[in-house]
Amino acid sequence: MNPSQNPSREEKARILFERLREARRSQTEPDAGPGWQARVMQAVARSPVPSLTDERPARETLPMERLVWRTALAASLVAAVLVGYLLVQPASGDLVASPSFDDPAETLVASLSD
Amino acid sequence: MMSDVALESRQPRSREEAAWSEDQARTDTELVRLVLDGRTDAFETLVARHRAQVFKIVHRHVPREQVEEVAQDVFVRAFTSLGTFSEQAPFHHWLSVLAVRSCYGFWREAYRSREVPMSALSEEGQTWVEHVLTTQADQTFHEQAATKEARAVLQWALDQLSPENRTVLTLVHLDGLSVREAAALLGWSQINVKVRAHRARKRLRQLLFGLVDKRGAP
Repeated sequence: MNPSQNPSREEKARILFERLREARRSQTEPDAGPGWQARVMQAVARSPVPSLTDERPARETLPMERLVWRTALAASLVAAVLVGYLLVQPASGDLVASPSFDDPAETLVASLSD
Repeated sequence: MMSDVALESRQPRSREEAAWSEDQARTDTELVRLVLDGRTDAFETLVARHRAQVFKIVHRHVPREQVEEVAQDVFVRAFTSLGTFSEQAPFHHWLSVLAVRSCYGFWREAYRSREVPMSALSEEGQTWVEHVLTTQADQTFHEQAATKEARAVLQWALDQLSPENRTVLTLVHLDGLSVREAAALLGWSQINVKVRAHRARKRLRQLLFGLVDKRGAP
């Protein structure tokens, strides 16, 4: 069968999206009705007067995204603290390893013979 | 006597007119500074100057009958947060960000209060989708695209998506913005926008093909 006569599902989807986009573009844009600007200024007059501030609009994030990032941050901090603790405490590592390397019986015999 | 009264009533008017015409010559940044210094009326020049741009953005995202209300919210929000305008980016760009986020907020609120119609697509709409999918060439492209059925299909499909996916799909796939631009407008990460754009397009495709598959064609 000629592929041009039977377009794939992907091609059909592309054509369909293009039709929808074109239909959307063909819509006439509405303009403000009479009195709209006056209504805006009335609403503005009722609003608190703006003032200079250092506050910036908060970065809008989704709840799940926020949760994921906070969990990742907490896990990273815990890992960093653990690594830091192990690096600055070499003695504790020796203490843990010493029973495996030293022979306590030999040490005991040597000390008794002295 | 009469002439004095007339003169008194004319003077403030002419002062207002003079201020208005002076404001017309000012840049957006100068007008913002004036408003922040207490000249609230200077904001009207900003509204008049940028309302077409705001209407254009809002119209792309919300139903026609809601455009005026959302556009008004955009300007009120712009006024109240004018102190956060950093002057590093042009005012119209800052306003576009507010407009897009207001539209997203509109849909979040609409979904929360369950005001989004979840009705089934009309028979005409389903027929239109089927017709587009079974037509081979692009010869009737404009004829098909201009139909109100196409708009009804798009509206129906968008109503099935979450506010996040709806907004991203509109910005990226319908308005043709890059992922980076959409992310900047929404204040989301680019990865988030990319993933949502992909999922939304996939979902839209499923919805549209689902209509045809249910009817047993093509």
